Amino acid sequence: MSSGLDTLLEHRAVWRCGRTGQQRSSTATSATISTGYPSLDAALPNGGWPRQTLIEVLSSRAGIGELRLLMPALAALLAERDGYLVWVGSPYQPYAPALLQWDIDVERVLLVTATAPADVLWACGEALSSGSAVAVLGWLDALDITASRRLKLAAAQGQSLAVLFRSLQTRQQTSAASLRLALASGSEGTCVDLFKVSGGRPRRIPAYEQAHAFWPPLATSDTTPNTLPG
Amino acid sequence: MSRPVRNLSEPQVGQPLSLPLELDVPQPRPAAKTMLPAVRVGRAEQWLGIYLPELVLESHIGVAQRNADAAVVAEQSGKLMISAVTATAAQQGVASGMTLAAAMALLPGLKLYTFFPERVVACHRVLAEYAHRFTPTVVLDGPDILLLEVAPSLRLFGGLAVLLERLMAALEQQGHEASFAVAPTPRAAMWLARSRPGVEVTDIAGLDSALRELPLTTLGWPDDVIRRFAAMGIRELGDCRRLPRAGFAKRFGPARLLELDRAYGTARDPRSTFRMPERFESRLELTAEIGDKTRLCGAAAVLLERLARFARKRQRCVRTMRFGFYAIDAPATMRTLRPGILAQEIGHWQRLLELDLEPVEFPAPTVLIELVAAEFEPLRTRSGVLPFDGQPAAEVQAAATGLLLERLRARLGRAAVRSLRLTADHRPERAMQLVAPEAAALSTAVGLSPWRELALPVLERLCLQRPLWLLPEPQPLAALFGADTAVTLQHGPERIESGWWDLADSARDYYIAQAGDALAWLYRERQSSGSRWYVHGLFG
Repeated sequence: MSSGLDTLLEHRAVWRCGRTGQQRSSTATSATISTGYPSLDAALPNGGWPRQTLIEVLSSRAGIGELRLLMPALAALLAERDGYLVWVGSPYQPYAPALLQWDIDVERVLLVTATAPADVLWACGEALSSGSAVAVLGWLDALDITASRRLKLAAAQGQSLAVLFRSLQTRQQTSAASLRLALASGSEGTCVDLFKVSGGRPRRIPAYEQAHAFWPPLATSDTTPNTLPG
Repeated sequence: MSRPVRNLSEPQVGQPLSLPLELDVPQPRPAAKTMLPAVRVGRAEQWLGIYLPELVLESHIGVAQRNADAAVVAEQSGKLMISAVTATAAQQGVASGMTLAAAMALLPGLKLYTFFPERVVACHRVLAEYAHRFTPTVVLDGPDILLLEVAPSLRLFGGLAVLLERLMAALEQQGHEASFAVAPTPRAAMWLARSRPGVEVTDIAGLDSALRELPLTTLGWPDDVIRRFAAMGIRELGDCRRLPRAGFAKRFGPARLLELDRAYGTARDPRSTFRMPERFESRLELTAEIGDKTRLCGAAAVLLERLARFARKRQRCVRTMRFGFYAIDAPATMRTLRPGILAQEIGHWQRLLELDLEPVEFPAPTVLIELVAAEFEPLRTRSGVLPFDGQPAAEVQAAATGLLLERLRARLGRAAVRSLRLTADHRPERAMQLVAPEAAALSTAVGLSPWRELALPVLERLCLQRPLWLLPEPQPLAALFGADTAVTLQHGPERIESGWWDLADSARDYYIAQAGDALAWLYRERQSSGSRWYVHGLFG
């Protein structure tokens, strides 16, 4: 009798509140991809980034750690199947040697220059639904609920992952994204605020990485001040 | 020596004119040699001659208007003359060759069309293109003759009768009046088609009897030549043929003798065959002015269909196509599309056009669309693949990638779609290039292996990180972050210097620093004493 209930509860369509990465079942794992950061994996439902959907990363500015957050998962996705990693409307150029350090195939990076929000949105949609992009990274602030839903559908259709990088001001806007998170720099490193998690609970992770842990200490010479006057 | 000649014109052996042949020739031996039927090497040819008597009419007046009284008027030596008339007008006495005044006197309600020679030529060429369906050897002769060498095609089409039926039915359907004849030589086929339609001469031996009674007036020779023959009492080709060769050549020119020899197959008749045009050009006159882009794209689809047919016939794929949208009293809008090699479907072309037209502002509604395509490539075909295992096959994936690149380029411009390439250089700004995506995959190995095998292990051992964002130009620290941002150096220095070989020598100390929220890659020039800080990258 109880076993029957267990089977029912184990069914994939049944979502149980509070059941996160620690107790994931093997069938559901394929729906996510590990972030590469244990603390983050533990906080996300099914232990990783959701696949074939839309993720929003909100940050106050570029350079806060928004790419490092995704790099291990993107490298894993690229290793899984053929296709481009498409960057649409990025604020700067991604730097190839750094991508190589993160195990990303440099020749599979496709940069699309677009400034108008409509163009960025269109290019993201095209790339996602084409089926030839493993993941699409887009920089877009102007996004309404319809457009976000469309991107989510395009990602599912093209079996791709859509990641939108947006400013913190867009936090109050409604969005169809499966996962929305905001980045803020804290004392120990970059802090991740998972404020919309479909299939999970909003969480706050103090520091997803110890960025400086693997760096040797600063080799300060006498002439170089540790703190610059700005 | 004379025997072959006599054999050739056997039915007239008894007639006196055949005898002086040798007497008139000053040097009998070599001359007699030329009279031998040329040895035909290889297979026997079979020429189908098609005579289009009303081509002028058909190329100027549409099928629907041909039931009315109408005529095509051309200017000949300063006078307006009728050059073609419809059947109903002809019944009432109007004939080609009349002056316009005479025709108008007979039929005041005659509808007139101005004669344009290029229309006739274009119509002739279209028919020649159609004839290519039946044989690769199509010859345009004169303004109204099509010659097809059909012998190699007969087996494919199941015999001459079937081929003829299909060709004539198609011509009739297109509203062309045509008569045909079959002969072993092209010239005989042409003459017979003009004067004895329906004649089929399949071997060279039967040619003589078929041509014998052909009136000279049907050969298309000048009138004065015909008159001089008539004065000699010669009205038919058979009589003409029996004239002494040397005298004939002397009086009427060797060219005309050669013409006869070619018709009878005793001399070779090399022809330059009609080549399919390598340039596509087509226009569409719109029935109403169109300002709406969606409707314009719909109208342009007709042209794209024509282009697709053109390309498919030639087994070509289209490299570039140029659309011209013409308006009244406004400059034309020209748009060039570059569809990829992998995407030769009308649907894709239409989407490209829609994307291309999106930012365009038309100054006025369009009345005429023109499509020109001159750059083609041999078609590379692919086999279709059924994705049984759920994973798209590599070829399908490649095609989808090609389509994606083209769509992006069509809307955002060619320079907007780029890929990265590593180059073997230690200076940060020179370690990478932006290249076209197609080039990245090919040449990445050049820069990739030095990086992967030499540079990366070193960087890893020294715990050196490269930033994920590189600024296009290094920027002063204060300019990027503001003067009051707290900047803390966290790691460094990493000294990157030298580059004297390409005159971009530098000596910089790089640091990783926390600047406000962001992690930045800073440097300071070693040589300059000013110690100004620059941001070169951000650790995204």
